[in-house]
Amino acid sequence: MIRFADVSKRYPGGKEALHAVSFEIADGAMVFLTGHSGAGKTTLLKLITLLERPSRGQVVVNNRNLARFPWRRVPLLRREIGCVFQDHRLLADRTVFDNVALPLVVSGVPERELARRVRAALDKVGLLSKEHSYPLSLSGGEQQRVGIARAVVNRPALLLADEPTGNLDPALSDEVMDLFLAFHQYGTTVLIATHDLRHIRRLRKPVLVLKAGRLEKQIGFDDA
Amino acid sequence: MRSRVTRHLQAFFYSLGQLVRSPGSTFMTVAVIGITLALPTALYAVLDNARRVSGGLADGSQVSVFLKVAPESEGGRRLLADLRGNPRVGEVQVISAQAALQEFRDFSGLGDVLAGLEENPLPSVYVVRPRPDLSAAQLQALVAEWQARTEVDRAQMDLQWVRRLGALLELAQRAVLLLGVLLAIAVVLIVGNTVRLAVLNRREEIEIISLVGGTPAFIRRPFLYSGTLQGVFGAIMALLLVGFSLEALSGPVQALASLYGTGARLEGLDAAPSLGLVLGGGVLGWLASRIAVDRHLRSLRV
Repeated sequence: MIRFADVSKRYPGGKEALHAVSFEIADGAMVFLTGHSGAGKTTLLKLITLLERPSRGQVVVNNRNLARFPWRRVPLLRREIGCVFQDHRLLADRTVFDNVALPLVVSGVPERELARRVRAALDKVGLLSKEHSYPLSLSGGEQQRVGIARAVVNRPALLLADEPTGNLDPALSDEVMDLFLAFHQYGTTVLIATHDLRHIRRLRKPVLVLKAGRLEKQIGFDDA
Repeated sequence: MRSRVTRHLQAFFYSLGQLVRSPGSTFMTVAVIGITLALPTALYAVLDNARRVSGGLADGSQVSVFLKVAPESEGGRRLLADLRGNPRVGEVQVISAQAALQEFRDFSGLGDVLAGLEENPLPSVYVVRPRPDLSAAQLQALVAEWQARTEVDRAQMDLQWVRRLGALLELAQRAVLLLGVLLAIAVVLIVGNTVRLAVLNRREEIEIISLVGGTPAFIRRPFLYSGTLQGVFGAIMALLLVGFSLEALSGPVQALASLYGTGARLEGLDAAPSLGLVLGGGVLGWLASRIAVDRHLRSLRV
């Protein structure tokens, strides 16, 4: 699903965020990406969604080589990827329903189909009763679950999460991780960047360890 | 196709809603655009009226050719034939010395004094109407040519001020056009600036939409509608301002016109230029928001 071949990313100004990173994540796998802050986790995720382009090397996502991928088709690529963020990135002036519906609205899904799929996604994260609420009236864990509903409403083949439990207490954060695990069990490929080693120990999934922009270790990939 | 229309409608009403939800700032922007557009529009309306009035006065000059000889003399007849044969001349009217004296007697009220004269002091006149499309220089040349003839005492241009007024109106029209272009640029800058602020205010939203796969066209659409609507509302505002101003001026103008003995009235803008203004406002708003959105979307790297 994701293949990095000798990928480096140098930002303008000279800072090298990633150096010669190579790995491969199979279809349907669930993988953790870990490392200290500034190790390059966010940069790596941005290369997958083409928010950034590599300075060197090749990134292949869902059988598409992203080198020289035309800008015009970037939106179509992003519709195949669901993204979850530490700070949720929900729109405060729209209801939970409208937030979750956004990926469907931009791809022009008809009204009835849209409502059905939004409710299905909200049901999966257990927030169907909150569809008319505004994000700020929800708790942090609920907001994150809305963010997850938005990420999966398009039924993407690939789900990316950047520190999804960073702002949550342990109980809520386990709940959120279990949601990701559930989507993985439905067949979605999941890549989660986190520095919380507790989840990694608890869920026993393969781990990529970044250190100062280099891939230091790959754990558990042989049997994944 | 249907979903495309739906999406445009959604963007349209979304933009309209955004404008309505912040009535204060919307009104300010629309008022600024309205005043900016009202200036050239008002000048255009005034010029239009001036042209209508001056057009009613005369369609050009006439030249009075005073004769040394009698019209029925050989020289007089030859001159008349030459004048009528000249392609630059429209028509020639002959006023004989007797007719001129009669006219003078009727209008001046000096009949008794004139009756005492032994000899008619007035010359005969050919009143020549040159073609209206002649330039001032061509007219000057004609007059000089006639002046040089031996049969002619004097050739004199009348009503030249009408032509001067015409030239002046032409000049003013050019100036209004120039001013209009400048102020159109001002409108583009005004709308561009409001749209730029809107883009920056909704930066978060734009980034998220882009991240979930919204195309640039989708992101741009509400801003384009918003800019276009502001331009259209601004143009309507300008029309209202000009309409009220002309209404306020119409009383004094009518008083002035009656003093000059003409029935001239100040007339408002016709439907065609009004519609043109509204369309123009919309086009300017669209153009401005298109430029602003494209520039700022690039800077957001979405």
